Amino acid sequence: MLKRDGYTITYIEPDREGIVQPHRVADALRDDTALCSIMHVNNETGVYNDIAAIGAVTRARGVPLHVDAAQSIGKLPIDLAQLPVDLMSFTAHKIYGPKGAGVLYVRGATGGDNRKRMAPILFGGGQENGARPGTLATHQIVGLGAACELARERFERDIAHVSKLRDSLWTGLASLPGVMLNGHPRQRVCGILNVSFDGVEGESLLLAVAGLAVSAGSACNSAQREPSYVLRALGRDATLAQSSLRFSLGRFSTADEVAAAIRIVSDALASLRSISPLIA
Amino acid sequence: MRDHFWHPRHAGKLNVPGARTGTAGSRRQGTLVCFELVVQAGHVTAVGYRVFGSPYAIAGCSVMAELIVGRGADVTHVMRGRELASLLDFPTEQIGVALLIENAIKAALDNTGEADIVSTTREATNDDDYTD
Repeated sequence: MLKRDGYTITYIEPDREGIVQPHRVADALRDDTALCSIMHVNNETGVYNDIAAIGAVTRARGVPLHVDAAQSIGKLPIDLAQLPVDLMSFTAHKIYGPKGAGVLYVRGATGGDNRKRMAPILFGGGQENGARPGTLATHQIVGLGAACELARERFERDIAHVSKLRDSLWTGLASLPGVMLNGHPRQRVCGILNVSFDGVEGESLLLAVAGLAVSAGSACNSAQREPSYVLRALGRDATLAQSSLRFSLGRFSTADEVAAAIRIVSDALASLRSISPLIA
Repeated sequence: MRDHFWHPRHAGKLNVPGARTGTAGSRRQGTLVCFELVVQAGHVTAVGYRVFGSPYAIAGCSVMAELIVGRGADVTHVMRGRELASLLDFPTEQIGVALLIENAIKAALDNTGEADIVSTTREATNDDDYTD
């Protein structure tokens, strides 16, 4: 949309571990850069960027920084009093709140006549001092608030629970042949695991693990099932990128489910590898 | 199609010396099919295959394998790729897979080995494996 409006977009490549390094952000900034927008956590790999360091870079250059915190809220500590972030967005359903409610935090947007104002993108009744039209779904906003409170209360407990399950899942999967973890092994949130499986084809693998609710490492909205550009940026070739599964764990996941997942993947992999000409 | 995917017939390596082989496709293409046929007294008495590919590729190989067992080895083709695609209701983007299966079977019947230029070696991938 910005391109359509005549803006020049500079895309910053992650390194081979999926991390956008602050020096690459520094190199990409121009004198006329209007905004830097970055994901805190990559939704496919779970790898997170150092937004404090990136924010220091953008602040030094006077460029506003927007952070997509959809996958980091409730998973990583976020203190906006400390972080040099100007705008942050997140959504309720990623912290077990209701779907359809989200937040755009704008630093300096409240209090006084000098507060920051966002230009509206929808027009109509001019509610909220012209920021947006329409009647808000207050029940969803209340749900969002409650979800945030619970996320803060349960933060350590959730992290410990999900980390343990994730480690158990990875231990089980890593024991299988031809398995590769996508993204940095440590600079990642606990609830996302993206794994490539060598020697088996992606669509067959996805069908073979039909008992699991997982997603594949490909653009699911493409009829051609293009390989994930995220995994390609990590150095996986197209075939390996397509033979990837993304596992997601959360507050309500259980050890039994993880054990079942390992068993289902193991059986599927064994079956497909037994007939694969790529396996000696 | 699903039945042949979940329960592929005659899948696997035959391990029979002298079996006729036919291969088509490549890892890079996303489909690699290798058929083996045992021919005795002019008839196909055993068939095996290995396949790297979509569920349609696996199901297609299974159907072809079932069709070819017992057929005369002088048959130049068992079923055309497009007929196979129609039989299993392949989506348009998978018709090429059916053609590769046809080519592999034909190569095996002709005992020519490779039907297409095939690369069975693993493509270069990221050297860093985090299997720790």
